[in-house]
Amino acid sequence: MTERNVSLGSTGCAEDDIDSMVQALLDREERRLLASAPAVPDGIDEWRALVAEPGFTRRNSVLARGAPLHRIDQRKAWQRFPRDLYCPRTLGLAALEAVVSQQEMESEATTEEVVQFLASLAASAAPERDASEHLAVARFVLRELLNDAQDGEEFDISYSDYREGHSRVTLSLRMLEEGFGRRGQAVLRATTPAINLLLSGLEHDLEDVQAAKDVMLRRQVSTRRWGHAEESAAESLKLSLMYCQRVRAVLEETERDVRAVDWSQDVPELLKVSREHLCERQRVERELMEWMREVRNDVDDAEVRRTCERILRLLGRAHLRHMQLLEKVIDARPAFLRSQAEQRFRPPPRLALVGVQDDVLEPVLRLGVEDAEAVASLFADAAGGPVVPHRPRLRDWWASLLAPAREARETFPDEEIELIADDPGELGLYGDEDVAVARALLTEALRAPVRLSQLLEQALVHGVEAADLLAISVLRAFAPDPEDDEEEGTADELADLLEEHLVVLDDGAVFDLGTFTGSDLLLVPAQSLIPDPTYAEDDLEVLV
Amino acid sequence: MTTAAYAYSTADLADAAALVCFGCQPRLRPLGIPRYRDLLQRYRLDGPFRGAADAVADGLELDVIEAHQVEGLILHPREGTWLSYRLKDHPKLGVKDRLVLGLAHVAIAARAYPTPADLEEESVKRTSLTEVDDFLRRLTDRLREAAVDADGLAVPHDELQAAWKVYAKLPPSRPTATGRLSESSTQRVIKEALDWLVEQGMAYRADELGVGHYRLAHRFRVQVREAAASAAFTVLCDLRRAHLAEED
Repeated sequence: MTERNVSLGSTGCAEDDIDSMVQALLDREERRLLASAPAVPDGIDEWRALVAEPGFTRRNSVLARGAPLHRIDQRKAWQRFPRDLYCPRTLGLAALEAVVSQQEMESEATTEEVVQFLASLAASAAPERDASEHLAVARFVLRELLNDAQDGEEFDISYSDYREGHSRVTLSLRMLEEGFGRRGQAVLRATTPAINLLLSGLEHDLEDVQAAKDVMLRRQVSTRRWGHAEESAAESLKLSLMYCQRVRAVLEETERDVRAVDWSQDVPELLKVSREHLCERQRVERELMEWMREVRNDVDDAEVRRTCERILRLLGRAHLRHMQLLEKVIDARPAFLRSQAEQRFRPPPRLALVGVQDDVLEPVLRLGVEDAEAVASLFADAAGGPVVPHRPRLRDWWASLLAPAREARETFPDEEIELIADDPGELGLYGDEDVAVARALLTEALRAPVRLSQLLEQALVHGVEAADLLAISVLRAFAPDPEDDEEEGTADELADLLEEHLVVLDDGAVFDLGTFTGSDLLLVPAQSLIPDPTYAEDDLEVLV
Repeated sequence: MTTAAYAYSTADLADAAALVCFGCQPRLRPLGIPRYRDLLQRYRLDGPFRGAADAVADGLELDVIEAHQVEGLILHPREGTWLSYRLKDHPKLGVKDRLVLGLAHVAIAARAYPTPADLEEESVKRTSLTEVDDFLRRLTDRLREAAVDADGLAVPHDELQAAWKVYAKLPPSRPTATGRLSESSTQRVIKEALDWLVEQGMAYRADELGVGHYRLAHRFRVQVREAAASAAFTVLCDLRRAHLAEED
């Protein structure tokens, strides 16, 4: 109100003059009518009332649900791609579309396929750019949809709700999920919020949408808008799939625990509704298929004919789905009776017994984090039974002291980084020459005991690398690293000598050569410890 | 008890202790170990011997839950005693990790034995990672659906973060590059819980039924029935009472 008055006042006197002129021109009746209308419309309050309406909040929440798609190009990491070339929203939506089209079917969309698909889209958006960039864009978009930055957690989306004063509402939702397919391959699945967002942008009741789609399909076919007709046939199938899933979940739950679902009212109602729905769907689909067949037989255009075929196939698929569901629905009551007979007609349990689901799990899920943690971990502790603490044995002591702290839980890091040296120079740290030098020196050592410092001095003549290799090999022979067993290194090429023919001892002496310092280890030929000299001689010859 | 004469010979006491010792190794099966089987038989039939074994267990701060012919002597360490295990003592687990792992345990039990009658019935239950996860997610979905008002809109979140939200937020399964379950997924946590039960002789892997399938042994049911469920329920009741007192 105040703002309005101020703005009126600031417009100057010219308007005031006009106003008085107009007032003079009006007759009394007109003046009365004008005065009876509110002088200044109460704009802000009225607008507030609009904002407080549930419809507004619903639209607002729908808009907010799209945030994960909108967020992508604001990511800092996205800035490395050239501006205004790729549209991450379109790519994200395309990924959802691709995933939904295969969902629940025999071959669900795998991660690789979707990446390939997105990369091809990126390639047509910017054909002049490098293929590796297209792949990077595709991966980026997919990872954002999966919320990889937060280990695949749900997106947190907040919006303001003005229905009663103001409050922040936080929604959690996921767009895509990665899971294992039927053959154990990694596949992608779209979540229900994602499907709703993609199909209609609004949360309708499923059945209503289905009816709307049918009408749309008929209209589209009759007006010969072939492309659209195909689209809505596909969407009709997607909706049917969602519906199948919902009914199946309820039926499965019944088979496990009769009490979990209300069989006196809810389920019979649901079964009745779904039976009617299914019969209706089957009738409609049959009619539509007949109708489509007629249309197909009438048209001459080969392209249109092919589209008709596709629509027919989609409808056939939906028909099949509904048949499968109907079988389950028809079997539901006998299944219920079977489950009831099994579950209800048993000897009554003891009075004091606790129902794990009703009395423990469900209340715990409703508790706050702290309280729930206390109860749940108490349950886990008590379910475990006795755990006898194990004392380490002396012979395990050495390895367990050296081994890094072991995590009791099996950990698989989310990102498995492969440590592959990019620079070819890093691959072989020691050249063949160095190995040869070290080998020659160690072979020398087979003749008589020698100190590490002497060997190193000789090796340094050839180079630091050779001495380094020698020192590492000897150290490894003296104190093998238990964690290092599988590692294949150049130093291991000398292991045959060190492990079998030389014994490394520490007598407490130390040395300092500048580059190398430490215990001056003693290398004693193993042959001197073996009484049979001929055997040692043979061995040496073989080696040399 | 009189101090004048001991009713048990030293051999009896040794046998009683040996039986409890077997019971402390839950993966041992009495049918495969003749001495265990004999001691168990004696426990079931010989009253005084049972008294001695119970006393030994009592001294070790254990409760004897059941002497089962196939599963062996089922023992339960009293809370906080030396043979008990506590998730809290695990250095690597934070509050939320413990919550999710604890929920996984409860859900495994609730999935297999939803009603008190199920806890009474001696049967081997089968379960799998996806089954337990789907079960929990159905419950959390139901709670999510319940958290809307008359207009079908989400209610403004209160300060209290509910346990189900913590679970629902995590992804169900995320394959890593090597085709295993990633650290952050709930199925991995359920796997951890089931593997722990396998280690404790409460479950068996059932790979012949598919990857991630398990069988829950009779021992698990008894342990849940006699120890875990009632302990958790008691704490829940205490919490509820405390909340009610606060509200007053």
